[in-house]
Amino acid sequence: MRRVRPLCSAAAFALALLLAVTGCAVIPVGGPFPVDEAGSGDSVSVPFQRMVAVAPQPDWGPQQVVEGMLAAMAAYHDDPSVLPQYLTEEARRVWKPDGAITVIDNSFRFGDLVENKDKQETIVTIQGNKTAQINEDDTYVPVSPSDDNKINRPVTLVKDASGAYKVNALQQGLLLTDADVRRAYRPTNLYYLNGTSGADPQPDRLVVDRVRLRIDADKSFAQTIIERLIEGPTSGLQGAVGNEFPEGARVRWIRSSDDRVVINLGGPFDPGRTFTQGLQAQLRASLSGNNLATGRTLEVLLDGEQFYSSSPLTVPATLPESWLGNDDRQVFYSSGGAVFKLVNDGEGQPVAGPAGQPNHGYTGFAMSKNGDRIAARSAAGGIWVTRHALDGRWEESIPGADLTDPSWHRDGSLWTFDRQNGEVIRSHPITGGGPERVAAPALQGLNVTSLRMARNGVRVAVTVGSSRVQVGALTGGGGNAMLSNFQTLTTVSGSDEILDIAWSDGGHLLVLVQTKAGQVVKEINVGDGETAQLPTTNKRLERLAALGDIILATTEDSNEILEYSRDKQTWTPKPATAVDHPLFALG
Amino acid sequence: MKGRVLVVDDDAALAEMLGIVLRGEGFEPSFVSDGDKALDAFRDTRPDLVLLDLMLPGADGIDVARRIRAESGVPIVMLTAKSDTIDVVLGLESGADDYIVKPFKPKELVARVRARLRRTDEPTPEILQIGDITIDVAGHSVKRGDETINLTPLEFDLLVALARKPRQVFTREVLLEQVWGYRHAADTRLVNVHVQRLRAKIEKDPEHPEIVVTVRGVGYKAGPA
Amino acid sequence: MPPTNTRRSRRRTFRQILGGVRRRARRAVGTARRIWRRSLQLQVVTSTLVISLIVVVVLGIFLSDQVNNSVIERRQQSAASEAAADRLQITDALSRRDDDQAKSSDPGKSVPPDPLDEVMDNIIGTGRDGWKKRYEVLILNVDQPGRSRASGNVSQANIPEALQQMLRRQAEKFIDRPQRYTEPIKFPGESHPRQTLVIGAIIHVNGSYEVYHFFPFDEEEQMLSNVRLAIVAVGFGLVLLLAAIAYLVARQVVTPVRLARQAAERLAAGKLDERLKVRGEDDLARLATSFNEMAANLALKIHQLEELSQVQRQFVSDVSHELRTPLTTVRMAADLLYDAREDFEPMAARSAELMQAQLERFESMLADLLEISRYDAGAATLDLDSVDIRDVVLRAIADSEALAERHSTRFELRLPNEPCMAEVDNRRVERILRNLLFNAIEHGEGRDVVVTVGADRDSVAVAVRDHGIGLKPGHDTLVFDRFWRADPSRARTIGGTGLGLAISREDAGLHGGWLQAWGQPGEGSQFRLTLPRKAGADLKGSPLPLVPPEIEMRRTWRGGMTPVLLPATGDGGGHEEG
Repeated sequence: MRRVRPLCSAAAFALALLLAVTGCAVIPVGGPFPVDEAGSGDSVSVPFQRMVAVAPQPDWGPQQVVEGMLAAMAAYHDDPSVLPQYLTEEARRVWKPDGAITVIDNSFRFGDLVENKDKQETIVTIQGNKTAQINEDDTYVPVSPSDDNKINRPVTLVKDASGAYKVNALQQGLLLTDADVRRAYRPTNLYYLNGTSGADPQPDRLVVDRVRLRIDADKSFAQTIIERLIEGPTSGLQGAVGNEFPEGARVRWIRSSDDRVVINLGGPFDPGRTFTQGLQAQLRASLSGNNLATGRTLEVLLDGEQFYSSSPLTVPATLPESWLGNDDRQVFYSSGGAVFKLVNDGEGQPVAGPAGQPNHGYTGFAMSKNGDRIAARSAAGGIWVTRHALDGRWEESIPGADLTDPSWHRDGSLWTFDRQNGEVIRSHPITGGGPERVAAPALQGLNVTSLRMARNGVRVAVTVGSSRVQVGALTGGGGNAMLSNFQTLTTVSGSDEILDIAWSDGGHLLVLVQTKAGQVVKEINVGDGETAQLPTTNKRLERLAALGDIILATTEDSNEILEYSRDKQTWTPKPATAVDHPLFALG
Repeated sequence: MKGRVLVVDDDAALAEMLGIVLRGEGFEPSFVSDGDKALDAFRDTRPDLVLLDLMLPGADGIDVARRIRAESGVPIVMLTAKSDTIDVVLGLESGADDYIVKPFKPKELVARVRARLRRTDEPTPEILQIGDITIDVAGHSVKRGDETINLTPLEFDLLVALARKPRQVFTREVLLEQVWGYRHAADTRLVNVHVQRLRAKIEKDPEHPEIVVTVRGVGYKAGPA
Repeated sequence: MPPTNTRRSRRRTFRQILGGVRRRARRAVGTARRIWRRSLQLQVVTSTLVISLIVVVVLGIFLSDQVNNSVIERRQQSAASEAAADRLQITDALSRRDDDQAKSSDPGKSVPPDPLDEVMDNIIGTGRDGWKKRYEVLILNVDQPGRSRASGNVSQANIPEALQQMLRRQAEKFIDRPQRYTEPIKFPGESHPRQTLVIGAIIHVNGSYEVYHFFPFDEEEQMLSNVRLAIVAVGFGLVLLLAAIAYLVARQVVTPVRLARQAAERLAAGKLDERLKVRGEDDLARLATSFNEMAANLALKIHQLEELSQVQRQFVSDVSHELRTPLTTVRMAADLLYDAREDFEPMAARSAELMQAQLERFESMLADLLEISRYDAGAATLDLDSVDIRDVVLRAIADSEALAERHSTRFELRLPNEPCMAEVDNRRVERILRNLLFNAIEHGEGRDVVVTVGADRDSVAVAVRDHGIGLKPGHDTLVFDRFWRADPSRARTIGGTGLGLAISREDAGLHGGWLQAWGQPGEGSQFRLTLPRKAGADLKGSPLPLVPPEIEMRRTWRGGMTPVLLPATGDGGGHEEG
């Protein structure tokens, strides 16, 4: 009796507690609250699939063995143990996976079997179209469809002791199909600086470098990217850009949480002499540019400790606009030898100074950085420059009889190609530096019809004749400046001609092509030649100008400016008439 | 020998029986049955000994004993039906010299009476000195200096017994035999009570006795410790 | 000799350690048991602790089982349905493949990607950047080249062997039931294995495709272990809380009970005016009220009884006293007559003699009656003195000598050599011994009476042994009853009052001692008086055996069994020989 009382109360208490606890488990009502996106916890890797290579089966025919071998090649980087099972002893010894990777289209087929009875060999020929190749510096070089891209790869098979086919001889290097590349590689933008950190002026723009990176199953894609970033730019930008990551740097690990990504670096960093903004911009852009770690702060550690001895190095979630250089969006246009400033309503206003006065002697206007100088080609010959001010006046900067339209570099120099002498000329109108030759061995003897410096001042695009566009880079600084690393970006065949080119940003070049069917505007990624074709209009376009997302064109008939809207995929006219040429500063 | 005995008892039969026995032994008994009249009878008869029943109508035995003792040192022997300590001690403290518990044998009664009367028969001329007390045995007087101290015969006998052999320790049993005449050990309370009474009379400070000293565990002795 | 001392002490130490440990352990166990038995609070708290622990453990197991089931089962279900949906897509895509390939033979047209790639992209969301499914998929076709795919970092090696074999066995029997398997799997590039649910199935479209879904369960595992931890922590806290509550509640209950116990103890000790404080109206207050009522009633009853017995005792005492005066007269008269009997005629003379004798008996009876009534009144007091018990015995024997001679009985004395000092009331002890001796002489039928004195540290004892007719079984307690006689028809020859042993028993009890009897028909009897050396001290045993040694020995010999003592018949009974 006496004992029952405390026990009863204890039991009652336990029951009450249980009820309270179970009550807590009921889902609370209320809200609305912001919801985290599914999968947002991991922002440093991307979903991907892989080919799983299977070992050859003894009952497979020759074609199946070759098919299996191709699958094993696709999976080679993930699992290099399977491919050798397809090879004979000898082939294993001879064959190397190194070198450029050949990419063929998905619809390859096998040629007729050739049985070589003498040697007891069976030869299977892989017949297909080569679509691209991936170089060892990870650049993706597409094969233009106009080239002869047929490929015939014989593969020699023999029967081994157990009667199964084995590959005895094949061409060196990996052969992947388009699907394999699409599956395992990702087009990736790497960002470098438009100059080395020691130079004057300090680098202030990022230069995009385009590569195809293979997704490594063992590490996050962000790590793969940063490791590739550390390795340096591809051949197209070799020597033309700066990289704040020292040679030999490495990534120890990357960890991601809800609001930050911690990057632990290692290697010969010198925090005291590191150009912090550059490093931050490179990291930020290289991750965000590939949709990784978006919206998250980056925290950079060095060997697991704070990057600087006194403070951590963090990279804000957003990159300062200036690094991508879309600051000055004012549109100018030339009309009847005068330059006008485009306003939102009505006719444009002529610019101050002599450039605003109609003068049919000048064509091919170009605005300098900040728009304070205007250059133009005189009908009389030579490149003339005037200040964008009332008291400005035209002065000849580069004399010459047959010059291409001028193009401003962001450092204030003015560039043109002397078609007569086949030389690249530049002058410094601001400092009064006279015209000087710039070495450009790759352009020697070419019929260069236009030369345009990219706004970040690294890349340069030239039109050769009216059928080919080449892109190179300005390497070396100061007196050693040189245009090199030229690669063909695009060619047009037959009667098609390239009417105009314009840089939209550091990575993309717009090309206006006149074909028999009509005009096309191609937006070509200078890194891997990836081409986006803009929808055409029924109006004939004459000239192009672009700044970042803005793409402008003038029509041949009505001389009006059309602006391309990426959202609506249409061209809409701007309020200006009698336009010869739309202009942005630089570009 | 003189043998006047005053019997104070309310029980007529017992009184008469006592009379028969006492007369048979040669005593001259006289009787009174009421406590209130006992003192008058005592004055009239001047007995040598009083036999006093403790339970009396009127003034009870203890009162009577106290009144008699106030006037005289005549031996008083109490008759009591209660042998319980309280009654006995009360009786002894009120002045009785001895007591007999009812029922008693006639011989016992006679022996006690004789014992109480005996001492007067043998006077020995002798002067004893103990402390500042002088005892004239023959003269039956006790003096401190010139001051005479009145003692009852029993008290006198007790003091003399002790004083005759100063510094000798007397056990209670020895004192009972010597002073009261008991053959064998009886009630030692008799001794205790009478020593107290004696001390009250002869000691300067009864709380710190100097003449009759207690020897713990043994008995008493006369003289300084 | 210090060295010897040291050695001895060391030897002793070793033995002491063993003994000491054992002793200490035993003492600790004893203490614990005593505390346990005595503390209701401890019992309540302990039982609450134990029961709540059991409840919490059962509850916790149930709860975590429930959570486990709901979480894991739900996850497994959703995993199974996701896997089923994916398999459906895959089946769909694979069966489309043939048509596509037939069409794609048109040259020049861009070749659509392999439907297997397409469906994989769909399933794992390759198209959506940065959006990642929680699970990985592996499609395995070992028979056809290039028809196997995997997402993420799973590889063929991660497939649980047993699951694969099971699926293949099923496939042989044309069963395609999805199977699941859970085990920790270490994926390539990861440092620790992760708990993973693998769902496998075989799709038969243009060959057999094994499809495996890998669902990582490490989050669930983490969650469950958190839940388990929480349950354990909460359970532990709950148990402690319950114990604390039980402690408080028990304290609330036990404190008044303790007060009641103390009050009852004081009541038992005779403080009849002891009362409990009554607070409130709950059960405990009512208990206190009842207790107080009980105490009041008890006090009243005791008071009444006291008064009653007071009156009765007064009556007995008064009667005895009132009887004395006439008895005295009669006595004296009888004495006179007796003394004069020679002058009477023979008949009258004999009458006087008889009267005289019976008067004496009457007198001693009256004296004993008075003594008894004094005990009953609680008026008996001890007059203590330190004496040598041997002297008392000798005195008592001297007193009995005459009677013994008359019965031609001899005493055999067995006295120790050293004094046996004890604090006793001389008169009473002598009376006891006298009574015992008279009794022995009366029933000893002329044979020797053996008187033994013994002593030990705490007590002294006197045993009086006769060799008379003895006592029948059960009579050894009755002998102490008032006016009891073994054979009612048997006359008292010595003229004992019938109260002697009863008074003796009371006297012994007054000393805190025992008076016990032993007897066997034909063997005689023995009475043993045991007294503490220090008055009032508790007796633990007697220095002398109650049963005479020779009898004991004979019994052991004869029966070949352990001596069984008759139940001790001391005042309280039962504490014979401690």
